[in-house]
Amino acid sequence: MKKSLISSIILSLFFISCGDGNQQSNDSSQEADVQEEFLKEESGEADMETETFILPSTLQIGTIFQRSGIGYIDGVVTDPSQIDAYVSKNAKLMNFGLYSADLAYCILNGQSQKSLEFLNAVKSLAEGIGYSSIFSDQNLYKRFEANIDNKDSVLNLLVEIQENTDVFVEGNSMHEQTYVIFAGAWVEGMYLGINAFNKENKGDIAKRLVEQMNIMTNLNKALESSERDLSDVDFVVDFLKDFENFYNNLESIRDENGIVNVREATIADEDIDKMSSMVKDLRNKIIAVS
Amino acid sequence: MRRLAILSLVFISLIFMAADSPCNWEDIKKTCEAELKPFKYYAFKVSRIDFGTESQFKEVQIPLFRDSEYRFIFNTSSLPEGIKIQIWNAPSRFEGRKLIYEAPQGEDIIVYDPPKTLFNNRIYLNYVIPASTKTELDQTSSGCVVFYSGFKH
Repeated sequence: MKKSLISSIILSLFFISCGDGNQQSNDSSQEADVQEEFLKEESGEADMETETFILPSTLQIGTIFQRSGIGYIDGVVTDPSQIDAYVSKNAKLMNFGLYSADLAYCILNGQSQKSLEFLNAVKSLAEGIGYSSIFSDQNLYKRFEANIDNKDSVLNLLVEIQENTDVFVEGNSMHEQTYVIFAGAWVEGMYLGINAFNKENKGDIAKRLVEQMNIMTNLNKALESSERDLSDVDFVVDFLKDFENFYNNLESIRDENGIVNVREATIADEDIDKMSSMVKDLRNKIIAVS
Repeated sequence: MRRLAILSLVFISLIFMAADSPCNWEDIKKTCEAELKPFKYYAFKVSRIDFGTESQFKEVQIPLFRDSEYRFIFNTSSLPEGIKIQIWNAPSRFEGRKLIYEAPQGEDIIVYDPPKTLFNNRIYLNYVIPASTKTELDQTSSGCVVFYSGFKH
């Protein structure tokens, strides 16, 4: 009886163990299927008609790279005194996004003086695109200036600026403008990430870059479907599409089954070099556009 | 002159319709803000819903970042009828997708903190909107869901 009980327990444990194994196998198989589905989405194979999406805040993009060991690199941000060079609305919108990313980068790295310079630049650009109300709310600009040496306070104010911008856009049905703004912020985020790439942090940064590519897929869809006249910044739209194709054709990001595992993905050094050169080239064109 | 009078009437009607809009999203968003701490604002989305004679479906993709924690807040208080709110790990066209969360029915404000292990780099909000139970549909058959979210590390 005792022997039979022990046998039953062993048998039960065997089945439980087999069951766990099957469960794990099912989970990883399901995970691979989901990844494959995401891949189809990113390559444009999947039908996206019923789906809408949100774009994340520029602050979180900055924060994500910050956690990958990005320190402040002197001279990497753009020149905040150049804002008068932007004449067209699209150039102003795109650089509003780009300068906002630089502002987040300076704040996250405790660069008080630079942060203030970028805050002034972002505020001027906001006025130029008709978004001045995002700063007038609750004396945000004055509070920012007064707290400039307190990183946490300033970060909270940056979040407030982001939320005010989102509210302003929703209230005025300006979603198509946000795609242009986000394009500038996204490119600058990638530029800052790529510039910080080194031997020590390359594994982590590569994973972050892979995450950013999913957002780029959404951004491309938004820009492609936009009814806004983007002819003066069409080089950005074209580049982002080419960049997406380049990324989707990278072998180094896929496992042996051709699947991109976002959590584990790596990018080969030569692919990073190529991406780096492409992003730097685009970023320099954006800050030079008028 | 007559055309001008008609246009004026249409314009005035539109103003009144806007004033009576059942989706006062700015006030609704404020109630969500109270639930956000200790997370920092991430994004919000207003989804307008017009109940009709047939059921409807809306899907919203939310990009997420690894190493971050998120809070999702849904406010359905402006909806005249109930809807189903679900969170999935993949889009609706994918048969093998997994349901991560389904909001309890009958609550105006729903707060959900998804465990990090349950999502990849994006999740999919599904709003399943049943056909209206009303026989006559009018302006009061509309409303909105406000999705408000925060993140922290």
